[in-house]
Amino acid sequence: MNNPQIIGRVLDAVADLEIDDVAARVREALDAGMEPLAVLHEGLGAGMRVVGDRFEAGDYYLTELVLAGEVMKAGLVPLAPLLEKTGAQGKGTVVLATVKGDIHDIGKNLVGTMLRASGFEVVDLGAGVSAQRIVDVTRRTKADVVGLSVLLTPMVGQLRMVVEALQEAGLRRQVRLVIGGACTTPRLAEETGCDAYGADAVAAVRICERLCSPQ
Amino acid sequence: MNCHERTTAALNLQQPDRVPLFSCNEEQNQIYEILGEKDKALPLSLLQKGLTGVLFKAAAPLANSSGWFRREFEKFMAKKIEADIALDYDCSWLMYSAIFNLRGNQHATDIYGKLYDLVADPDGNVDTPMYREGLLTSPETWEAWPHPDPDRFYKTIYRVFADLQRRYGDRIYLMGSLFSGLWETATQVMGLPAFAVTLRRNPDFVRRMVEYYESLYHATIHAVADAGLPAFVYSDDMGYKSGPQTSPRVLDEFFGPSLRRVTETAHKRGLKIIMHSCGNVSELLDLFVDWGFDGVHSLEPTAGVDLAEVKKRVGDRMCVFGNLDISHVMSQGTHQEVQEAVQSALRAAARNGGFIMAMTNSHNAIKVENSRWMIESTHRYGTYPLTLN
Repeated sequence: MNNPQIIGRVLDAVADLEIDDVAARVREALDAGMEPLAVLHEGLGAGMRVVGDRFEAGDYYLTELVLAGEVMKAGLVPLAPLLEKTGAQGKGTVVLATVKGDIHDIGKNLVGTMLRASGFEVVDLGAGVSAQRIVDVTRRTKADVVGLSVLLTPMVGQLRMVVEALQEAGLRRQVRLVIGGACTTPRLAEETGCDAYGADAVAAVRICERLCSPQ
Repeated sequence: MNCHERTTAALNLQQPDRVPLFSCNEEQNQIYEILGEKDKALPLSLLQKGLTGVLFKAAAPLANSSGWFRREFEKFMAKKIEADIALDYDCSWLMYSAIFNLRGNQHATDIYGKLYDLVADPDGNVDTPMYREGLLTSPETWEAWPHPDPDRFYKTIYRVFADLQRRYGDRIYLMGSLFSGLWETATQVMGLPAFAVTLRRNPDFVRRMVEYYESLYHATIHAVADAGLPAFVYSDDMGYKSGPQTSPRVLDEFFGPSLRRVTETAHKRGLKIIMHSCGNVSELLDLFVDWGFDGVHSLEPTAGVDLAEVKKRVGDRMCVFGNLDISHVMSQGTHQEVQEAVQSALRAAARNGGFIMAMTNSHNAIKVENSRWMIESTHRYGTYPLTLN
């Protein structure tokens, strides 16, 4: 097998959700002398893009997206130690959090997995995160985007608090704000002064790519 | 017509004298506000702070084994009905939710194996516990969990529903229900990632798990029927923001056989059975009909569900419930916005009957005042023959 065939097998493992095969195929690519970054971007990342395309086409559903996230994690096991040594720059830094009072994190975790697969540096703060912590981490990481997940309508007030806290900290102009989650809408994004609304994890990746691309 | 005749006509896809009103209110802050009994709500701080907090933490096992925590939920079911009657709803979604056990004073588990956070509503009182994660992330942990025995489950549920039907059943049309449907339970006890992996690696286990949860539904439906209630709401969130959480094929293959048997049991016992699912379920509507459901509720506009389209597609086979937005209209909307939302829903789905007015769900930021406006507007504009253009 040549390198395109070997990397194609990694891509197919992700795209076809082969959770029990993906790590072996990644090792196969590394053993063939392929660069870890190439295995990440042309193999795992390209596979996740196929998953995203299939989701948008209606061939895959949320469960397949979630399973793809688990396939990606399995594929990263042999790759992660090698990637740490490369120190390569990604497409941008995204801070993710579910706002305070809300502990739902499946959607946010999925967005994180898809963003990492697409080459973003992701700082996932978890669920139930205070506005102050989001401000602190945004400042420290010089984040390009803050992604906020809100599932429950009563937590919309917390979303407004994060926007205000970023403004008060003088960070609002430096960072783009994207919201998603069950109770969010384009109207809510507009009302709260956010930059974009993502209906699902695939849309979130496309939005971050647009927001982080050179003007 | 009385509330029973009105609701029955709509569920039979006929035209009653007026569009019936369905309550899905489950919120302590609103229920006690409606009843003027705000002082009777249970403050969360009592469980978590100070000396009582320390005592509760130590006494959690006793609170569970003595049935105290479950009885609090059962008492609350009665309060919920009283509030629905006070607001003049025609029918009430009565969820059997006394399925929680305290785990210390910060968390609760349910009978299925899900972990919840104990959370407060805006008044600081105990709110519906908030799902955190599944505790049964593998077939091995699932097998080891002390699953409820369906026969004992029947007895407990029958006792509660029979009492409530005897006390309130002539004043409001009660629809029995059980917390968490087959899909929701199977995915949440494991957590969606572990469930997705298990579905691929071990589909036979998933089938076995679903069939066990099905047995609890048969027990519940028999209990509801024996207690004299006329209908059952099957609550199972299968929708996601932009579509079903999984494919219609997977749902039909793994859950369809059980759901067909569940609706068959309901029909044999003379009950109407209504599907409740949050999220965008447009793609699942034909399956709901095929599985045997008599009605469909939620139909969230914020998830992109078009009520008029639902009525057009399945309104001749299922009663349509819906679908006032709770993210804005019912929580922050003005009187005019509520009135317009009611008129819009009536125009979309009420013509010729087979329609029941409802909010899409329940949460603690919904205003009682907005609920009153919804009811008042339905009384005003929902009387047949409809005069709206």
